[in-house]
Amino acid sequence: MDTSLDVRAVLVPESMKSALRLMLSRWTGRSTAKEVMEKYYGDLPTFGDLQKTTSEKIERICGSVQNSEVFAELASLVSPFTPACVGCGEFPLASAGGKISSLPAGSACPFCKDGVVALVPMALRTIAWTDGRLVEPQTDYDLRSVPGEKIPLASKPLLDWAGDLSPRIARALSSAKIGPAAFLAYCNLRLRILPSPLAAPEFLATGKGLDKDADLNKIAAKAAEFMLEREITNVPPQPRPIRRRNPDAKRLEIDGRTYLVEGLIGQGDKSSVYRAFWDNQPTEAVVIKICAAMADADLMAREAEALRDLAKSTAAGAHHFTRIIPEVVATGEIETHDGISRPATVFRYKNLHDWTLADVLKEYPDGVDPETMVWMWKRTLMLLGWIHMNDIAHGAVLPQHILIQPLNHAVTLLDWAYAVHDGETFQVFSTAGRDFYPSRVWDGGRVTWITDIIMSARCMIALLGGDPATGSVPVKVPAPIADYLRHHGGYGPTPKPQRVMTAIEIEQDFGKVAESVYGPRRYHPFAMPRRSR
Amino acid sequence: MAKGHYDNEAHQALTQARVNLPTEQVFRGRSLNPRLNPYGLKFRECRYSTKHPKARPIMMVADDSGSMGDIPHYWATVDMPHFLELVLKGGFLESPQPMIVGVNDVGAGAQAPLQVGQFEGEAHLIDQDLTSLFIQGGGGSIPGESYELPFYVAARHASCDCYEKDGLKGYMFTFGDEPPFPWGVRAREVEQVIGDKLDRDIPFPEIVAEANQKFHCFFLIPDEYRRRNCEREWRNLLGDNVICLETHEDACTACAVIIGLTEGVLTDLSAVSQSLEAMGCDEAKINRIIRAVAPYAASLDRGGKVRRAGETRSPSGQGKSGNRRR
Repeated sequence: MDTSLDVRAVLVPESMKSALRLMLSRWTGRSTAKEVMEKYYGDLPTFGDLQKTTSEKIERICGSVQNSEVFAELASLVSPFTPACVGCGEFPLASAGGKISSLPAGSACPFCKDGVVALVPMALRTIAWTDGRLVEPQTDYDLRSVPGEKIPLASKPLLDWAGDLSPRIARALSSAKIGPAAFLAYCNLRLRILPSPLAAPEFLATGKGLDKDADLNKIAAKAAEFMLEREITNVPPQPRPIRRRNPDAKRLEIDGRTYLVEGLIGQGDKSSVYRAFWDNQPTEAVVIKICAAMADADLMAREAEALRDLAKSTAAGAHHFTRIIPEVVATGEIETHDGISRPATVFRYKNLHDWTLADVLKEYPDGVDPETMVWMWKRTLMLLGWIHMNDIAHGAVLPQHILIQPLNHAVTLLDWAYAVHDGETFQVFSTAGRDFYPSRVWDGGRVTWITDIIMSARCMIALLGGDPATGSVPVKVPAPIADYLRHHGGYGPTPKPQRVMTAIEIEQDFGKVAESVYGPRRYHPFAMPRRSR
Repeated sequence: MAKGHYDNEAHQALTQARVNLPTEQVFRGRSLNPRLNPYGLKFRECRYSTKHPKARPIMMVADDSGSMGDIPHYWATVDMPHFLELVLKGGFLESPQPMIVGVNDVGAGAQAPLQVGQFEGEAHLIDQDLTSLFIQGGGGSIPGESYELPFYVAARHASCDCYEKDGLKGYMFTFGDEPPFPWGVRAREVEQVIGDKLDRDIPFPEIVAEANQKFHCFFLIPDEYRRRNCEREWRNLLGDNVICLETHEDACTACAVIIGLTEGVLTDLSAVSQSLEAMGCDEAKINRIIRAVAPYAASLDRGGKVRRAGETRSPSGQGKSGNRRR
C-alpha cells in the first residue's frame, strides 16, 4: 500500500461518489447536493478534483451553498485510502467546531453505529501491456513505446483497434474474467510472444505465436495472476498461498499467527504432534504439539516454561546448546471439533530432525551397529551435560524423546514436561518407559541428573538390541562397550560408586573406550529409514 | 545507474590492497557522504541496459553501529568481490547489481541514520559506495536499530526493471544484531530522513510485506552469540528467511548461496556443498554455511528428503494419559 503515490489522476469509484453525495447532503442539504455533484464534479471526478475542492469555486458555479467551507475542507481530505462504511456508505469524516475527525479502516462507523468502515478496493496503478510501465488506471493510450503510434492500453479502445478476437482467445478471456490488456501484458512481457506491440491486433485475431494446442484457459488464468501481482491497489497485498503447501490444508490459529497443517509426525503419551507452516511469504516451518490427554494439560505449560528458562540460560556454551534444544515459538489454545479447548505449543521445526530412537528401534529391531550407537550416546551426553549445568534434569530420557538427524549426527531431546529443577518435588513418569527408569527412582526416589545418565545408558542398551530392564546386550556388541553401558545403566543392588561422573566426563571417558575398540574417530554413516534388510 | 561492465579481478585488486588497514582508514568518511544521502530520494533504479540485459538488484544493508562495524569492514577488505564472484561463476544471476545501504538508530540521534548507495554494476563504483559509508559506531540505549528504513526504501523507493517487466524479485540482505523497533516506520522519521510526507505510521509487518513484493528479504545475524538478542523477533516477521550465521566472515558466501537456492541453480544442500567446494571453500566453512541456510533451503523444498507427515486429524475426546504422577 503506497500512501505516498500520486493519486490525483485516479478516478473516484462509484461507491465513493455516493459517499461523497451523502456527505454533501449532510452539510449542504439534499437538493443542493444533487446540483453540486452534477455541476461541480461532473460525471468522472478524480481524486485530484476532490483535493482541489474549495468553497469559492463551489459557490461560483452553484451559487450560495450553506456550509460549503466545511464540506470543501472535508472533501479535500478524501483519498483512495479513505474508508467508507459498508452499511450506510458514509465516509467516517466529521467536523465539529473547526476540528476534523477521521477514522481508520476497521473502525465502527460513527454514523450508523452498526457498520464498519473499510477501504474501497481500487487500482491506483496498472501495468502497461506494451512495456511493463506502471501507469494510471485510466490511461487509454501509450504514446511512448512505439514513437509515432498511438497504441491503446484500455480494453475498449484496444478492442476497437484490434477488431475481432479469435474465438478461442475470447472464450479464455471471458472464463478468466480478464480484459485483452491483461492477456496481452502476460503474453508480451512474460512469454515474450509479440515481436512488437504493433503485432497485437494480428495476435489477438489469430493467436499467432502461441502453441497450437496451448491451453489458453491456463494462460488466461496466469495472466490474471500476473496482473494481480503487479497492479498497485489501495488495499494491503494478500499473502499468496505457499508453494508446495496445500492451500486448502487445515488452518490453525495460535497466538495471532495462522499455520497450515501438513500432517501428523508423532504421537506421544499426552499429545499429538504435527508439522505445519506459517501461512505467510516467507514462511516458517514449525512443529505444533496439541494436548490429547486433557488430564496432562498442565504438563504442556511446564514444558514451555522449562524450555523458555533454558533459552535464557547463561551457562557456558549456552549460545551453542540453545540452538540444539527445541525452540518455543508460541503457546496458545486450540478448540478442536469436539468442543474441547486444548493447550498447544508451537516449536521451530528442525530441518531433517525427523526420527526418534523409538523409530530407529522399530526400523532396526535386532539393534543398530554399535559404532552408530557411539555417536548417538556421545551427543546425548554432551547435551545432558549442558542441561545439568543449568541445574535441571530432563527426567524422561526415553527412546521416544531422543530425536536424531541421521545425516549430520545431531541429537536433541524432546518432551520437557518431565523436567525438574534441583530440589523440586514435582515428578511424573511415563508408564510406557518403565524399564528405562532406575528402580529406586520408580519406587519413590528423587529424579536427579544421575537419573538422566542412567536412562540414557539404558536407551543405548535397547538401541543395541538389548534389554533395558536387565542390561543384557547381544553378543555382537564389543565387550568394553557393553560393560561400560551396563556400568552406567544403574543395574545391580548397590549402585553406589565412590564419585559420580558428570555427563560430560562420561562422554569423554566413553570416547576413549570407543577409540580403543574402533580406532580414531571417523564419520560412520547411518540411514533412516533402513536402506536394505 | 548500472551501465558499466563488472570486472571481478579489478574488484579483488581494489579490496586486497586494504586487507590490513584498520576500519577508520578503509572508511574515510567522517560525515554523511552526499552520494549516500537519502534526503529527497525519489527512486533508486535498477534498469535493463545493453551491458546488463538482466540486471537484478541486491540491497546489502549493513548496520553501521558500534557492534556491527566488523561486517562492512570485512566486505570492503575481503568479501564483496568474493560474493560477486560466487554469484557470477556459480551462474546464480547474470548481472547482480549490489546497492550498499547503511543503517543506524534515527531515534538515538545518529548523524546519518540511513545511507543509501546506488545499484551499481561496476567494481569501482560498488567499492566507492561501500568505502564512502560513514561508520558511525554508537547506537541507541533502546535495543534496536532503524531497520525499518531500508525496508521502506526497498518498498517505495526502488524501481527495478526485473520486477516491473518480468515479475522477478530482487534481493535484500540486512545484517544486524538487534531486534526491529516494534513501532515500525514513523511518519516523522521518514520525513526527517527521506523527506516523504506520510499520512500515518506504517506497522513493521506491513512495510516488510510490501518490501517482500519486490525483494526476497533476508535478515542475517552474524554469530551465535548475537543470535539470542533478536532471532525470535525477526523470525516473527521473516520466518525462515532469518539466517543465523556462526561467524560474520560467512556473510557474503551465505548470501550467494541463498541467491543460488532461490534462483533454483542450487537444487539442494549437496549442490551447495559441491558448488562451494569448487570455489575453494574449506570443509569447516562449507558445513557452517550448510547449517545456516538449511532451514531456508527446507522452506523452498531444497533441504533434503523430509519424513512424510501423516493425517491432519486433530486429537479428540479426553484422551488417556500414559503418565504416572507422584
